[in-house]
This record gives sequence, structure tokens and C-alpha cells, in this order.
Amino acid sequence: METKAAKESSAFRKKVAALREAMRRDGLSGLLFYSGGQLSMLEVNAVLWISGVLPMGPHTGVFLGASGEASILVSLPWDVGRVKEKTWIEDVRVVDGFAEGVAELLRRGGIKGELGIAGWSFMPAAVYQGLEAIPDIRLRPADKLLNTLARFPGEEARGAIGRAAEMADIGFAAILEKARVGMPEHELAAEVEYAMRSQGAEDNFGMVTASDHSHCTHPPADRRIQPGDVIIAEITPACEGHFIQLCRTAVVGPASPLLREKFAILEEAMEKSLDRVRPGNKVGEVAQIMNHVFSSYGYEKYCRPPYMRVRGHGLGFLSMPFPEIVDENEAVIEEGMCFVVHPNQYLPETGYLMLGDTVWVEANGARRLTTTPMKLFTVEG
Amino acid sequence: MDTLHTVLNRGCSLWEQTRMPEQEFRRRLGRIREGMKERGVDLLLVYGDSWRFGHLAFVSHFMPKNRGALAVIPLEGEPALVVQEPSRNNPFSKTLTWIDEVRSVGKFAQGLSGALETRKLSPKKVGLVTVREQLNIREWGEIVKLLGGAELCDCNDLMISLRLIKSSAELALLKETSRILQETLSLFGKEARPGSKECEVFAALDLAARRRGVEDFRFLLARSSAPQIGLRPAGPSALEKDEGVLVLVAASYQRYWVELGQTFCLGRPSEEIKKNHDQASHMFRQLVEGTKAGVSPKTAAGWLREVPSPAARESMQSYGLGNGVGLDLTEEPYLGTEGTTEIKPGMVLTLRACFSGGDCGSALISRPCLVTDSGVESLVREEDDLISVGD
Repeated sequence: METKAAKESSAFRKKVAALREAMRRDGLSGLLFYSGGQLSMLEVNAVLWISGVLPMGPHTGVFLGASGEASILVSLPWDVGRVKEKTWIEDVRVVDGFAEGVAELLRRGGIKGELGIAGWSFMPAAVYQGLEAIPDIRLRPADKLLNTLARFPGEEARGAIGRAAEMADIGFAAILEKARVGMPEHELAAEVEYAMRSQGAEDNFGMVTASDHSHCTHPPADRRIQPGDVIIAEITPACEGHFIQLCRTAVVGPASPLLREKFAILEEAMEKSLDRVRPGNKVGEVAQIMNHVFSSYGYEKYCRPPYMRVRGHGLGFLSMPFPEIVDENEAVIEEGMCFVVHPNQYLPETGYLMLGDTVWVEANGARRLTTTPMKLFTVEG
Repeated sequence: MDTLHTVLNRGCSLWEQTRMPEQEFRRRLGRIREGMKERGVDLLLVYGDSWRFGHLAFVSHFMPKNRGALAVIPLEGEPALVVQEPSRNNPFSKTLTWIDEVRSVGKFAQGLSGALETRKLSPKKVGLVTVREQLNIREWGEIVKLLGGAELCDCNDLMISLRLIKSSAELALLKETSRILQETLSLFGKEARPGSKECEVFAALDLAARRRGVEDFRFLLARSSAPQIGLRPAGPSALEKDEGVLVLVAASYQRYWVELGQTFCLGRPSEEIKKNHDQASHMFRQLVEGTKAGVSPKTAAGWLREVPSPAARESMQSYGLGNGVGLDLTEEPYLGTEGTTEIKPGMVLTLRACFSGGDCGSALISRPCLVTDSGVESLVREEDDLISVGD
């Protein structure tokens, strides 16, 4: 049986082979994978993807030469032990000035010509300008190359994604178990966080909001939960660099007939949109059918900004099939893609309601990854 | 000390106006404008993102949740805040800042353009604070284009100088964050047992801190059983009997960060663990004695030259001997470096004695301290002994 380390090593070898081929094709002398200190759930992290290291500190980069030679540059000298433990790259260097460190690496390797930058869209101007000043080097954004190669999480990620999905279910269950009248919103959010972190969640793009009429979800404040409040939750734990998102709604005390009636529209939109998640369909169709459902109930204006826009999205760090599920997205859904579909909706009668699930695209359609039922929940309070 | 960033600042998010009133920001604005006049700057742009937002919070109290924000400060009239976010988030963003004009936009140039048009401003000299250093190259290009022929000048030094000495309101918040963090770290003794997973202990401390209202909480640990790795985020592995564990926690409350670090032993400490802790205690005392008003950051750490173990010396330097703390977890002055900033009464510093490595073992003591006329005063209760837990 293949060990985890061997599997990982084989996955990185495949990535390097694909990148070397791309460098030959595009006439690149090398690729620089960059990450700043800020991490985003909505992007593939270039450094993590190529090295296996989640970056810490202001600047981290991986240089990959055309013949496959690799170096990782880190800002924090005390972090070298962790980096060496996590990565397949043997050459780990600590650099004070990032651009100067890259310049030195290129000079020593005699590398000239075009340098592709993966992670360009997040690269601070000062770093970019420092790299631009390196003699005999011309910079070229290579985010498209990275995004093309990182569209699928891959079969090897199924285990981690499955565990992340379990964590999301556990996170929402914490809301049902812990929410009570008088509890500050931020304490409920902390309970959700605890439930998932204690299971090993590495991070969480999590927002829990309780209100009698929300306009959107946002990080929690100190408002105390009241009877009749609608609790909306966007829960997004990460496991081994893969995120899963679950969006749900719970009402404190019995749900009014009005709330049930309106939430049923979200359920209909969810069901119909999941039916459009099939290999060969365009991503935009998923958004279009959701918007069609809401429009048919008279809410067309609420399908547009400032109320709503995005109907789901890819989930980043290690893969990203496409950024957003919007009407105009012409990208084609393919088997093996993983993304969240969420007909979250502001409705003037009820406020913002949430329902959404992460799906894995299989040959015959979408497979939901979480097990939390797609319904309106109630908590005793 | 730097820690692993999270994808969203998701703790308790509000502006406690009683603790940080609008007058505090008006006073700051007045001092910033004096600096702008001295430099001939007629517009100041201050950028911050969810990773690092100290300068931005200093002028606005705003804390970006997962993207960034840009404060637009003209020489006269009210400032504006441009936040990269969907427009539906605007009402919530407004609750986090004293600035009335909050523009929620997709691109910063779009929001800046609107703010300039409203004020009929065509600035000739624009001061920049952490814009070039943190804003991505694409958005930077759009802003430079928008500003046309205006002269751009770096004003980071202005903001750094204004933030060195903490006001009474700032000090009160730093004391509150210190109190929360000390209560939180004290739970390590209750939660950590041989067999407990690192992530379970972290989760329990995270819950305790968040219940107390922190906006963000960070946790790093190092284990004496793997000294070559050093401080790192918690993972799934279980703690073991009789091992030493270095725990570093940090939290922000009302935008003000504090860091606290302590060495624990899960059971009976070995002679080596005791020796390493004694060494760290000795170094920490020297650090406290060396950190005085009037000395340079380099001089404050002069005693480090006398540490006999080169491995311990090098490791301590890599972790850093200390730094200012406040709206950023690490800010000027940085002890042991060649900085020109003299240590002054009213500064709040994290003092840190931390080393780890196969050749020197490992130990950690880290505390927030206020610089006074007569030395430094710890903002937390001082725990000098090695703490044995989990028996």
C-alpha cells in the first residue's frame, strides 16, 4: 500500500512535470510562486499548492527552474523547522528582503529571461517593483497557468474534503445545541469554532449572525439572541488545505408560516440549481435557474446588487474550479470539480436567509458532501 | 511575533465607543494633519488589509475582515474610508468606524475617485502609508493612474512616530487584552493532559478567549520532544507525559493586540527542561533590566552577547527579543535591531525570551510590559516558575 508521504511526493512530481512542460511551451526561464501573509479562502495559495507549506510571515516564495530545481524562500527564521518538515523542497532559505533574496537566487543560478509569477494578483506593489528591478529578468503574470492546473482537488483529496465536510456538519450542530436566548452572537460563533477546531479544522471562514432582520451575514458582534431571531450561518472549515462550505438558517423558537413559506423558495432554488450541476453544463446556468426561481416569486430586483450577486463559488487554497457562480460565467462544469452552491437570499419580508452546500461533481451530477439536511431549522432557545 | 494568519477576522466585531471614543480619533487626526503640513502633503492614503491593519485602525478603528480598506485623509474636511467588499456589507462596516463616509467598492481606485470627486480635490502631493507595501500591484497601478501627476511620498514614518507612545485609552485596552489573554493561557493547565490532542487544547483556549470578546486569537506551540521544529500552529498529534510545551498565545481586543508566552511541563519536568527554563528566566530578567527609557533597541539587548550557547543566542535572535505591540502584534521598536527609535516611557513592548533547537533545547517566556520612567512594568501577573500541569 502506498504511504501518505509517497502519495504526496507523487502528486508534487506530477505538478512539477506539468509546470516544466508549461515553462517550455511558454518560454519561461522559471516560475516564482508567491504568497504574502494574508491568506484568502477564495484563491489557490500558490506556495501551498507547489510546496505543501501554508505560508506564515510577510513573504514566502518558491522558485522553480526550467529543469525542475526548486528553492523555498521564507521570512521567519524560526519557521524553518516547520517548513522543512512540510515540504518536498530541500533548499529552504531565509531571506530578509524578499526581492533581494530572489535576485540572489537567480544570479547564483545564472537565470535570465522571463520569470512567471504565480500569486501575482496578491503580490504587493513594492515586492513586484523590487522583482522588476532585477537585471536581465522580465516578469510575466502566471496566475492563469496555476489556476488551470489547480482546477480540481483530485482523488487524493477526497479524504481531507470528506473530513472537512464532517467538521462543517459538527459546526452547524453546535448552533442547534448551544444557541439560547440571551447568548451574545459572538459566543455562539465561538462555540461553532470550538466544535470544528477541536476536530482539527485548520481554519474557518465562518460567520454567524442572529437578527430579527439581517441584510447579510457578517462576523458576529455582541447582540444577544432574542426569541424569534433568525440565525444565519456560513461555516467553512479547512482540512489539509481544502475548504468546505455549509450555509444554513435556524430560527429561535417556532418558525412563522411566513418564514416557512419564504424559506421554501430557497429550498426550491437549491433543488433546481443542484439539478443543473452536471458535467457539460455551463456554470452560469446554475445561477440563472436560481435567479429564475426567485424572480418567479416576484423577487427579481433582490437578485441583483446591493442585495445579491454571487450564487456560489469555488473554494480555494489547493484548488479552484472557477471564482464565482454568476449568470455570465461561461465556464463548463466538469467531473471532479468541487464548489459551493448557495441560493442565499435577502427577502424583504424575512431578511437574509441562507442555504448552501458544497458539491463534488460526478458523472451523473452533484454529490453533496455534508449530511446536514437542507431545511429550515429551529432551536428551542 | 508573527503567527499564522486566518482567512477571516471572525471574532467579536464592534466598536466600543466608551473605551475608544471619537475624540481620540479626532486628536489623532489633528496630529496626522500637522505631519502632513510639515511634509507639504495635501492628501494622505492609509492602507490596511486583514493580515496587517495597524496604521489603518489608528486613523479609523476599522478592521478589514478578509480583504482590505483605504483611509482617505484630506488636509481639511472629513476623511473617507474605502472598503473592498460587496455593497450589502456597508451598514455593518459603518458600525466598526467613526468615519461617516464609508464607500464599499470592488476596486480601490473606484472608491478613491468618488471620494476625491465629492471633495473636488486634485491633490498635488499624496502621502502614502503602507499602500505600496501591502496593496497588490494591479490595484496600485490603478491608483497611481488615478492620481495622475501628483507627487507620491512615503509617510510610513509619520504614522509610526505617532503610534509609539500609547495614550491612556490605548493603555487601558492593552491592559484589558492582557487580562483576557492571561485568563485564557491559565486554562492550558486545565485542558492539557498527556493524550490530549494539540488541536483540542487550542480549541479550548480559543473558545475561552472568544467568549471574552476578542476579535482574533492566535496559538503556537513547540514541544521539547521535537525541538528542531520550533513554534508552529497546533496539529492533530497528542501531547505526551513529562514533555515540555512552549505555548504562545496572542489576541486582539478592540484592535489592540497582546502576546503572551509560557513554558509548561506535562508532568514531572526533566533536569534538562528545568535547566532550559531557568536559562530563559535568567535571560528574561536581563531583558527586563536592559530595557530602560533612553536606551536604543540594540543596547536593550546588549546582554545577549554574553549568552554562552551560540545555538540559544541565534535562536533567540530569530524569534526576536521583543517589539512594540498595539494595533499590530509586532511594531516599532524591535529590540536587538539597529533601529533609531529610542525606548521611551509610555511605550508598550512585548519582551520575549524564546529559544528552541536540537543544540540548545527549548523554553519560552513572553510578556507585555509598559515602559515607565524607572524601567518596565509587566501588564500581566508574573509567572516565573516552570508550570507543571496534567498530573
